[in-house]
Amino acid sequence: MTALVPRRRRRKRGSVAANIAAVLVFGFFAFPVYWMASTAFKPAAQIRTFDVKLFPTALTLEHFRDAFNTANFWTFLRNSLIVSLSTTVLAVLVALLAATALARFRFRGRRAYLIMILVVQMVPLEALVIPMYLVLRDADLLNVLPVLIGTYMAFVLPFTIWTLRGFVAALPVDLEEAAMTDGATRLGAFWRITFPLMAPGLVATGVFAFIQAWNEFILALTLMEQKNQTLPVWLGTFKTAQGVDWGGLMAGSTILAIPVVAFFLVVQGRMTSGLAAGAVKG
Amino acid sequence: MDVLDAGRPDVDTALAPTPVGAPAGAPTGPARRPRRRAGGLLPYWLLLPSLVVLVGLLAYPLFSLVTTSFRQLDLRQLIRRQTVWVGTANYRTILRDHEFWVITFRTIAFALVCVAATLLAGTLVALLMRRLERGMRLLVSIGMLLAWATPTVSAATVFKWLFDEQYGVVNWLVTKLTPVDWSAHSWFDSKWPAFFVLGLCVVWQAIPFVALTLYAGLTSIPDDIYEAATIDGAGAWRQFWTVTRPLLKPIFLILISLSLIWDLKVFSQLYVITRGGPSRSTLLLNLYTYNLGFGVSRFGVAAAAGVIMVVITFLATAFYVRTMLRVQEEAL
Repeated sequence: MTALVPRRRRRKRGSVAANIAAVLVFGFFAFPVYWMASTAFKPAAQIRTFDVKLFPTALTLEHFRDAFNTANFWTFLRNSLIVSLSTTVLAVLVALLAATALARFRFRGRRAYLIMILVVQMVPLEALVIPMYLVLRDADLLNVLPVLIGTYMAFVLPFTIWTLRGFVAALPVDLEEAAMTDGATRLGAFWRITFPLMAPGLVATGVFAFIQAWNEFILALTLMEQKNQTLPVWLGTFKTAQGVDWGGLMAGSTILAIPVVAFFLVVQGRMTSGLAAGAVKG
Repeated sequence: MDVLDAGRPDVDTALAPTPVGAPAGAPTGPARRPRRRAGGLLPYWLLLPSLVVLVGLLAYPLFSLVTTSFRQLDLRQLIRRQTVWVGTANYRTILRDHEFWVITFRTIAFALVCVAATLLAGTLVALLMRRLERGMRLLVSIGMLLAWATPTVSAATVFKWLFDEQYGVVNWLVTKLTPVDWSAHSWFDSKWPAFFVLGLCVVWQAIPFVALTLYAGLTSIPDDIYEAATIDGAGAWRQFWTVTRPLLKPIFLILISLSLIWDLKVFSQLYVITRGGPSRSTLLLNLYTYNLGFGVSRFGVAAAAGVIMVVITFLATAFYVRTMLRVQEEAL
């Protein structure tokens, strides 16, 4: 029915206007990040000056050194690492169990559980901080790192379960069953066949859990004592005696951002290689 | 940033509740339902750990929030560990407080403005990405990724620095490039510029998720439809309105709901950039609640404010939940 008219490309790809817009958009998003890093490496004289240099003409590590030397920095860093890693590992484990149940089995209450997971994500954490603080205070459990890990788990768990459910549901059941007809036990089949296939999904989910835990602010602020908090709180309450140390602040911001940006770049690769960040239809 | 094609913009993926930091892509699930076994008790055992965590650490605090809101829990009761029930007194205190209403209105208005800006900019960026060659598209994606990945506390600190009164680069650029002299222009001395910086910081980080999700939706609309529309004589705007918009409507609605949920919750940026100042003029609901509790130790009243906050959030997101439940009927 279509005539022999050659198909025209509807959109002009790569037009000059589009490319200019692309560069501007890139600039809008990337500039603050660039500015953060460049300030972090600029000598103090180039920061506190009215003669702003867009490109640093000299580089220095003094701000990073100052940041490292602030009181308790290493404690904060250590706490952040411990809490984020523990939360990630535990959350992924627990979520994997739940996701397997949800994706692979029929049982009563399955829908209710899924609805609960959805609804629970609506609750603003800022409101829950108050009862959490009060309960922990009464139980004398404030400033206890494992408790913080527990609360972090609670807040990353719904999303982690939801995502993993999508991954598990997307895996073909037949492989397991084929292995089982060949004599493997269900557990053996799971371990040797399903689990490796899930690895990318586990990694992606784990990384997102890590990022959320790493960035968390209000729980660490309220549930931990001042000298024993996490890196985001350190940055958010960073003050020096000599007024605002922008170099130090930017160095701190960069330090906080590095693991997340790195992980994010890793995961983005995974995310585009076939997954469903969420429900899979059918 | 290639996205897998699902043949039609799939609502399900975009519907996955995602906190900041998770992209959505078109799913590539199997075409048939996964066969599920009846598993006896095993599924319940598998669910047990997650239930323990969720009930213990989310449901219980929520319950406790409500009960605390009916108590008087100021410093004295806190120290003496007394439980004093005061009925709805806390709620009355808050609802009678003029400032509370101002703050609530402010919070909702701020969230709405941020959502509108994010959606608008996100849509434009997604449309732009469609028109770009692969290399430039990658450039834009990388830029957005950087903004998205930056921790909120870092971003807030950077924006505070960008808009610094004396040495900030924004003032410097404006002074250099325009006849306006902003060499000592303060952004944080009054409400509106402060809100602008705060909003810009929030939106800067919020656009990437929206843009990438919309782009994923856009690429799953087959070109043929646009070809046919062009042959029928529809221009670019018409095509957007009659082809793109209806197909993407589910995704739009979800993105609006999600953005609203997140933008009502802005805390760390607010804490870092203005701490509610100057003179409480940029105070938003969650910082107000936080201050009631951890600032002046009036935990009963703070709990009441917290409950109100939860109710507001639920109302704002009721649509999202309803849509999710309706669409997920089969998948569930």
